[in-house]
Amino acid sequence: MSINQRKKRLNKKEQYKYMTRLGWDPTYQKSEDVYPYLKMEGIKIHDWEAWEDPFRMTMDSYWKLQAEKDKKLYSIIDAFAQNNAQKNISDARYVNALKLFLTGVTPLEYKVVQGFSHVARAFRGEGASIACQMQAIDELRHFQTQVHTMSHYNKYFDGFHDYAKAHDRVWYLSVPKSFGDDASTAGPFEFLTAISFSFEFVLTSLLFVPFMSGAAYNGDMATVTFGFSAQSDESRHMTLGLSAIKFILEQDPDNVPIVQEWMDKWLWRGYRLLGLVAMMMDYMLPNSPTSWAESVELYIEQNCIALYKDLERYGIELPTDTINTIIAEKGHLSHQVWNIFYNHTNAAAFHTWMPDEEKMNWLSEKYPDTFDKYYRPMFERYIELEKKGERFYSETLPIICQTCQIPLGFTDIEGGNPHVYTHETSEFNGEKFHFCSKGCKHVFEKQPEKYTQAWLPPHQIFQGNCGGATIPEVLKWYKIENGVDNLDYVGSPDEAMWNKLKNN
Amino acid sequence: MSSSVALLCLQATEDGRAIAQAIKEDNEGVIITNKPAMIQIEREGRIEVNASTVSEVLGREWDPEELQLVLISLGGQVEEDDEQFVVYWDN
Repeated sequence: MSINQRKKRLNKKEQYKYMTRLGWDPTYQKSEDVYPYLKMEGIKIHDWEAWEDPFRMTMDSYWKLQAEKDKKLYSIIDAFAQNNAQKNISDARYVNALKLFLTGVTPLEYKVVQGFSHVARAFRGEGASIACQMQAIDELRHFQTQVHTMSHYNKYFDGFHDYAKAHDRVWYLSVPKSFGDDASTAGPFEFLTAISFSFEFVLTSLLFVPFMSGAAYNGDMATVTFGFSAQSDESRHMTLGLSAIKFILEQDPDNVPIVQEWMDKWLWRGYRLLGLVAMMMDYMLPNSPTSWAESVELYIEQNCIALYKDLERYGIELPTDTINTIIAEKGHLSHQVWNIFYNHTNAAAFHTWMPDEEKMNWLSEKYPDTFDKYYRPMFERYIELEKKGERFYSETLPIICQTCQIPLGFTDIEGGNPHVYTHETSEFNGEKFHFCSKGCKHVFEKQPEKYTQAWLPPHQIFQGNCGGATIPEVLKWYKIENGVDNLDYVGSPDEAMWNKLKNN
Repeated sequence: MSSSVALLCLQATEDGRAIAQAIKEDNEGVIITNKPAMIQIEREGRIEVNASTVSEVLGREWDPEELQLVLISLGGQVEEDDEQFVVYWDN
C-alpha cells in the first residue's frame, strides 16, 4: 500500500488568482467585437485593473458561509412545515403580502441573475467580471430560497399557483417587471448603477429589513429566515455597488454627470417600486412593528443622505428634489397605494380589506398629520358601503404612468393639496403621454424612445392582446380564478379555510 | 465628528446577541434597539466589531467572516480584516 503525499495547498492569494484568471487579451478578434457594449453609454475606462474585486478576500470562505446559511434556512423551513406553522401566523390576511412578494419581487431576483450574468460577460476587467458573476450566483440563491419557502403556503392558500405567468401578465406586476426590464435593457454600466448601487445600497434595506422583521412579528419564521438570509448577502452586494461607482467616477471626470443622472433616475424608479412595500408594511402585516414613514426616516433621511455625502468628493450631488419628494410623501404613500389596490382587487391575484378599528388607531398614531385627516374618512366610507353589501370595485381600467406603470392615484402633496389628484403629461412625436409624478416625467423625457415602447396593461387589454376586453376574459388570461384568488378577503375561500383552522 | 449614523442590523440569535454585547463594550455611545427577530445597532460615524471581544463574550474563537451568518443589513462603508469588521461613514 502506497501513501500518496498530499500536494501543497495554494495560499489565499494564489488560490484567488487561479480561480479567477479570466482576464486574457483577445488576439484573433478585435477587442471591441468581444466587448461590444463598453463604449455605448459614453463611460470612459482607462485602467480596468484598478477595479479590484471586493469579494476577493472572502472568496475562500464564501462557499462555506453560503452553505451554512442555506443549511440553517432549510432546517427552519423543514421545522416550519413539520409544525404546521402556517397555523401560527397572526392572521390569514398576512399571507397576501407573501402572494405579492412571490409574484412581484421573486421574479425580479431572477431578472437580476440574468442582468449580472450579462454584465459579467460585458465587462473587460477580471475583478469586475468575477464580482458580477458571484452576485449572479447569490441572486439565484435568493430566487430559489424564496420559491422554496413560499411553496409551503401554496398547500393551504390560494394565489400562489402560477407566479411566473402572473409576473408576465397581471397589470400591477408590470410595475416590478418594467423596472427589471428597464434595468436589464440598459448598458452594462447603467445596469450596475441601477441595481448594484441604487437598489442594493440605497433601497434594498427598505424592502427586506422592516418587512421581514414584520414577518417575524406575525409568526412567519420561514419568511423572516429567507429574508434575512438574502439580506445578509447584501452587505457584499453593497460593497460591490459602492466600489463600482467609485471606480467609474475615478476613471474619468466625464463619467461623473452620466453616473449622476443614472443615480437620480434609479433612486426614483426604485422608490416608486417600493410603494408596493409601503402598503405591505402598513396594511398587509396584521401586526406592524415599523411604519413606512419610520423606515423612510432611517433608510432615506439617514442612510441614503450619508451615502451621497460620502460621494461628494467625486463631484456627486444629493438629488435634493427627489429626496424632498420622498420625505413629503412619506405620510401618504402607503395609504394611497392601498386605496388603489382596494379599488382594483377584482383583478388582482390576492385579497384586500379595510383596516379594523385597532389598525386604524395604529395608523392614526403613526401618521398623526395625515391619516385621520385624509384617509380614515375615505376608508370609513368604504366600510359603510361594505356593510350595505355594496363593496366597491372599479370596473374601469386605470390610466397608468408611462414610466413606472403605477395607476395615476397620487395627489398634489408637495403643492399643498393632498386631497387633489394630480398627474403630469409630456408630448413626444405628436402623442401625449401621462405620468404619476414629476420624477417619472423627467425619466421619460431623458429617453422617450425607450419608454414609448413600454408594454402598458390597459392599452394591451383594449388592443385585444390579453384574452378579451372584459374583466372575466382578462382574469382567465391571467390564470386568476374569479372569486377564489381575487376580491375582498372577507368572503374568500382563504378566510373560510382560516376560520375552520382556528376553530378546530 | 461625522453626523452620519453607521448602522448594523443583526439577527436576534445567540451569536447575534453576543456580537451586540461585544459592540456595546467597544463602542461608546452606541444605541442598541431590539426589534422583532432583529437587533438594530446605531452609532455616529462608525461601529467596530472586534474579533477578540466577540470571542471573549462567546467563549470561543470567532472570525469576523462569521458575521455574515447573522448580519441582516448595514449602513456605511465596510472595512474588514482578520481582527475586526468596521462599518463607517467617511463624511
